[in-house]
Amino acid sequence: MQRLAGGDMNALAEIVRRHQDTVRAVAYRMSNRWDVADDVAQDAFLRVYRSAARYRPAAAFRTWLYRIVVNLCMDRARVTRPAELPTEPLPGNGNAPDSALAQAEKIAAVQQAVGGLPERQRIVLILHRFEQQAQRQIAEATGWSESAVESLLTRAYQQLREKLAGWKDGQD
Amino acid sequence: MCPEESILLNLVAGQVTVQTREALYAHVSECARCRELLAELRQIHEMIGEWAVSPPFVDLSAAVLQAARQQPVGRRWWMSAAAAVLLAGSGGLIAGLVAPSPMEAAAPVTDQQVAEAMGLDALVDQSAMFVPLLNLEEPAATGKEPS
Repeated sequence: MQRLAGGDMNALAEIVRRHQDTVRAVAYRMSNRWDVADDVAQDAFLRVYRSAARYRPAAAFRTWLYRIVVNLCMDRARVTRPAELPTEPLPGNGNAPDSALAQAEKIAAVQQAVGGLPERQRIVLILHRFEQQAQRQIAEATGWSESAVESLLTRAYQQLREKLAGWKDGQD
Repeated sequence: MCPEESILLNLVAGQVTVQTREALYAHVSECARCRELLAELRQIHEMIGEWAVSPPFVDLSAAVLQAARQQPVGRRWWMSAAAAVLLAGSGGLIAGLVAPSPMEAAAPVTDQQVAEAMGLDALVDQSAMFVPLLNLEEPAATGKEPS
């Protein structure tokens, strides 16, 4: 970041290459669209570039980057057509998937269930489960209180337990 | 006393200290309700973790660099706008003194001219680094999702 603040464009390229897959994955899980994810990623890195001179390493770079990405995703969600996912979760039959097709159906059900969460629950869940961010780190990234993050994460899991009940192993 | 569900989620995610983990397991071993809840959370945690995403290969660095080169750092847009108005007004005043023509349009100014006029080395970008997320109302304790 210091190099980037000094105008070293190679530093920007390094930052992009190092973090683009993470940023794109977060944006994709938020939007379920790769075109949106790529647009968000480009915008995010441009914001990093524009703000490099003022970046202070008080917070981890990744936390700062997550905040940019989450902001952009929320802005995008207001103007972008969402990916078409079925509105009701795929039911599942309570048995463990025993084929590649069944596994694909289970993954689709997960994607649908996560996509159906309210926006803030989805953000917290994605950062917690897929980015391994602790609740305190999520609070830093989003600007929400730790208690709010706890509440959102708890409710996200409650909803997912309901939506994915039919996919749990060994359920009668 | 049973732990909060969020604490069990931290346990499932491996985000607790060794001491906390031992204490939680000690409780769970004696509490059927928490044992069942922990098992459910772990199952969901693992299930959603199976949703792996593989970004289609693309190198965004070229596109980002190209866009960055078209946006030189150092443009505080609102200062540019304000200074441009000021400079245009000053230019109009000077033009009026030498050739009275109140309807004469001000010449467009560049950021470089603005910076020089204001005695600045550079115009800093005002893009927020830490922009608060919109709609920052916290979830109510009752569990209702904020609008």
